Amino acid sequence: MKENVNNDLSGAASAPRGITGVPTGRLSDVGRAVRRLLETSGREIFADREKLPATLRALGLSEVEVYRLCLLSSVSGFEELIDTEEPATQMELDRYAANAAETGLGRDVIMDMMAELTCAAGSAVCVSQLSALPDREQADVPAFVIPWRVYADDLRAVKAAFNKWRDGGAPLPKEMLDQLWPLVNAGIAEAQYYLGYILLHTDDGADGPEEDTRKKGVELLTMAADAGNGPAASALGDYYYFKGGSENWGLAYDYYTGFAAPVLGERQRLAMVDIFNHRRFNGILLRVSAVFLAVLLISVLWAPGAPVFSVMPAAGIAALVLGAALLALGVIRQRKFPFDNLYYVPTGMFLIWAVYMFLRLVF
Amino acid sequence: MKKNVFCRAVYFGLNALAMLPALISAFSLISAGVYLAVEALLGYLFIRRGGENAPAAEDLPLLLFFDVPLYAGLHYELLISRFTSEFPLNVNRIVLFLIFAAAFGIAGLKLKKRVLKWISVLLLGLGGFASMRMSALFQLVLYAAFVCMWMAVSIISERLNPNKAARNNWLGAILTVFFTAAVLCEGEAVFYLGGEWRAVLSFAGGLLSTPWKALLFTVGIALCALLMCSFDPWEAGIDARLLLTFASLAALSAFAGRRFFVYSLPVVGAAVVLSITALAGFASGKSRRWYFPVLLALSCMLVLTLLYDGLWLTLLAIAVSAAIFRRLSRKNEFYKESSSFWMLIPICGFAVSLSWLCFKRLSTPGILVLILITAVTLAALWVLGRPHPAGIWAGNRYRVAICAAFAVLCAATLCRGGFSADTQYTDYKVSVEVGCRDGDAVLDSISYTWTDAFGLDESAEHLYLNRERTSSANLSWQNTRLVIRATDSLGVSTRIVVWRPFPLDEYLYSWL
Repeated sequence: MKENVNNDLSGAASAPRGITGVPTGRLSDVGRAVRRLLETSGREIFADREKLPATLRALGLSEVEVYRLCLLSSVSGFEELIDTEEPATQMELDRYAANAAETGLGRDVIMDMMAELTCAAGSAVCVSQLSALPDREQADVPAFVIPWRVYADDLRAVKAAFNKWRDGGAPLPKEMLDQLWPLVNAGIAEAQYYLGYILLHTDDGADGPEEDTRKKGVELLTMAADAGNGPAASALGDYYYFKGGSENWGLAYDYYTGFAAPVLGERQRLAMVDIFNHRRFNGILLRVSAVFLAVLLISVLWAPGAPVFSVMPAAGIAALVLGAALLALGVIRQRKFPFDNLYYVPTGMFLIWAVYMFLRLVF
Repeated sequence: MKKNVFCRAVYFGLNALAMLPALISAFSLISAGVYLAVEALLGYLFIRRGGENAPAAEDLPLLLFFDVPLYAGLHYELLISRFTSEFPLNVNRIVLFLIFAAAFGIAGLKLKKRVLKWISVLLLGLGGFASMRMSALFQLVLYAAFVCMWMAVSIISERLNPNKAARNNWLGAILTVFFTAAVLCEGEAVFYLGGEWRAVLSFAGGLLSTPWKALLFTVGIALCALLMCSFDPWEAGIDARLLLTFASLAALSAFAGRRFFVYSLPVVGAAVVLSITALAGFASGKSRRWYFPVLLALSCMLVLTLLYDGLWLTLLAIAVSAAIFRRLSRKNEFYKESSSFWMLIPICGFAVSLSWLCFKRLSTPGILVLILITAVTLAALWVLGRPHPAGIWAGNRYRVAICAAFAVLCAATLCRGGFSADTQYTDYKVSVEVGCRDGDAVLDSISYTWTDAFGLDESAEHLYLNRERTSSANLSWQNTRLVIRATDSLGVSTRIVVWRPFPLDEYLYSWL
């Protein structure tokens, strides 16, 4: 809910660089070290892969901090992050956050480090509290970063309430949604997952959630899953799995085998088995359809009941061509859409045979 | 207009129309006056005083009751001319009088209403039976029909409203007394009066004499029934159902009359009894589907067709199949979840088709094709019914398409090949002309077999061997049924049954 968010960032927008959000004096050791490094060596030092670790160690940083900074400095978009001359855009920050996921560092670590770096370089606003969260849609809003520690407590509380609600059916506390919306607006994937899940499993319609609620839920889960949130990807996989249909099962397969892979539960694993088996079953259907085509061929060649019923070879050949075309169509379709429903192939094959037999019996 | 008033008006109008032929056959100014007077009185009692909240079926005995004095009034001249001042007491009349006296004595013992009602009906039946000459079949049938109708409308009326039982019993008793008095005083007059019903029946017979007339009549009555329920048969009340039952039975009667044979009367009789039972059940509050009489009439038509052709086995196969499906359909959602249901369709279809093929158009290629069709259909249904590892249920539309294709293929198999026979009967002879149905076939042999109604008592077969495309014969009737078997050069053995025409009119009217 946007009304819960304090968008009063007019001061921040025109504030001198380096005095935004988190006061300089409150920078951590990492932030102070980076600031000093930028003041003394410039940002070129971060491009020097050999000197950088030693320089950072010399500034008194621990091995872990050195390792993390080295990793993050190699991520695409780092240059814009520490540009002391030109402020970073929000898009550049978001892109960097997404790219940094490849380092294997947790999102909390990434966000904290980004906050320290941008604050030290003065390239973006570092939001110190969620109530001061800027509205992304507002014009002239500087790029901002929210350190993990700002919302860690809120998110922990939300997580506990969410788990209780999901596992035991305990009612959702009203204040939980109030806590969630600012986090969702801040683009925090975990919050998006919680809210998306809640919206998708709410019961405000006659039979499940209303269309708008469902859409919003799916949208939030998709955002969270795209940001690498495993449970969100798993929930989306469940959603598409239970929705059924070729396209949906394809999406479910993608989500289950994507970010959700490490967090798949028993139910999701069974769903995966179903999806795999469906693909296998389609193969069986195609093989049976081939048998039907063989029956059609035998019917044309052997022509049972020939003394009484006419043979009609031309119709037989036409039926064979049609049958073969249908089978080929089924095979192609199965390759392109592996989770498609192929029941129509054997049925169609039977009907082609039936039409041929009908022509034989009647004419 | 209130719904019940409309229903009463429809029944009143139909009854007035039914009595119109009787008026026409005995038309005079006085009879016309009697007709108008009685109808006016009946209209007042039946429509005006009948009540807006009570269905018309409650008061149908009233309608039937008034038809008797109306009919007698229309034929007042006949009654006057036949009644004499003499009062011959013979043994028959004394026996009849004693029967009635005993019956009324039992009725006076304050037995239960139900017993009284049955005694009333029994009296009516006994009266009719004892009064009529045994040779006058028409009067007996007429009397029996009246008793049946009286029973039916009384039962329905009392099921709808038990308070009407007393009135119905009174009306029944009055009819009995009226009839007893008439028979005791002048039995001949009653006898001849009954004979005059021919005019009414001829009119009714004319209505159903050709298929299109019967269809028009049936559709007209069915439309009235639909009007009664505002074209929503699921909400049909007893009045609409009664009329629909009447329409269905009329259609069945017309169908049976087209090819009357020995099984026609029992089948139609059974349909009448079942229809009345269903109506009585509905009147008692039991849930019945509105289309039951239509389904019953169609089933009876099918039964008559099969029996006419001597297809006992086919009838048995259909009956067993229907019983199986009915039993299965009682299980909730059975057809949705079980592939066995769908597999049963081709199996039952195969049994029915094979029995038909064996009796009507036997040939090795035909049986072979039928087996192939059934096997492939079963295979297709088996594939669709295979348990999907992910629990996905193949849509029923695929199964419906397969079963429909199977039915079409079976029909095509049954219709192909063989011979057709054109038969024409005269009084004591039948001329048969057997012709090819297909272009290439020629006749190998023909046999004519005479049997009784049950297919027994076969007379010697007469075999005529030739290689012609057509063959004709002029035969004298030797028994009730003629079975023609023709085998063609392709090996198809065709069997056609011809029943000796049953002269129902002759039986009914011959001793008048």
